[in-house]
Amino acid sequence: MGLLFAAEEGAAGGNGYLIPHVIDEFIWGTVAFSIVLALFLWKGLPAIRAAMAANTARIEGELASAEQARSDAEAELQALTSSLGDAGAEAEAIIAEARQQAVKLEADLIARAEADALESKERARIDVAAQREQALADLRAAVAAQARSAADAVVRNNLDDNTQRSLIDDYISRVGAG
Amino acid sequence: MSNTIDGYASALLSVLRAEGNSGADDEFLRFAQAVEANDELRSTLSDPRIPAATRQQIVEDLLGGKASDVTTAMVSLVVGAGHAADLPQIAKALVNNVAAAGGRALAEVRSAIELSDDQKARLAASLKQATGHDVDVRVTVDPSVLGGIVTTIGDTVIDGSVRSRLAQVKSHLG
Repeated sequence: MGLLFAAEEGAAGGNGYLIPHVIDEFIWGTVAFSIVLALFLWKGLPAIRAAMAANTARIEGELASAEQARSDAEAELQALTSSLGDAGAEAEAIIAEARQQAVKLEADLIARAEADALESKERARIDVAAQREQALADLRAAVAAQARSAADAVVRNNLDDNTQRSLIDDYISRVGAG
Repeated sequence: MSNTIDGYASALLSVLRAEGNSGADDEFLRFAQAVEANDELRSTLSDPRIPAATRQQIVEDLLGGKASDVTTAMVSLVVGAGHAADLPQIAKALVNNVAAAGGRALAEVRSAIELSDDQKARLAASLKQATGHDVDVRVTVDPSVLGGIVTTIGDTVIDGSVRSRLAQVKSHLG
């Protein structure tokens, strides 16, 4: 830089050095610069450093938060994945149970239908047998009634006076004989 | 048996003793059986709307000349007192009393036809031989017997009727 000042000064027709030909100006400029520099180093630099540190801390905090959020998200993802896995297993279990129930229900229905069919068949057989027995009983009753009527008629027609007296005499004899 | 029936039977037995029982108890029994068998006659003689004198006149018209005066008077007494419906029970109690008064048991005989006196006597003898007691035979003609005889002495029934034999045959026939 000194060379630059000297060149500029030379070009302007100065003392040929980089520093101004008025040394006081140079001195005061240097002092003022030093003061400004000192003030900068004393006040400005710490503030800048503090601001940078704060910014760094903020960024680090944000990074930590982001990391935490990422971790949380990963954990949640893991949980969701696990839940999905559980849900799938549960769904499969439900489907399997439903299938078992369907199979059992089908078997029950078939068994019940077969039992009903057997019962209906047996009931029909019993009904037929009962109707047959009833028909036979009715027939026997009708024949017996006819036979009774015939017996009544035959007896009445054959009980003439002689027979009546004979019956009475026979009765008297049997009673007397003990 | 109710006090009314016993009372009338005892009273009528006294009448028979006083007037002499020449078959009046038998006539009384037969009339009572006729009343029992004839619904119209029984309802007429039992009808309280018909004056007692009218009912007694009916009795006298029916029995007049066919039964003894004692029998007619006894029936008229019962009917006039409004106990025509009790005639069968009173008659049975009366013949029981008559038999018991003579030291005999009453044999109620149901037959399809009337028994001759000889048959009655032989039946009484046979029943005495069977039961060990003298019996007073009272015959009722009952066509439902068909043939033979049914004799009831107290709680004992000796059934020799065709009806019972026929019933046995019917039971076998189902």
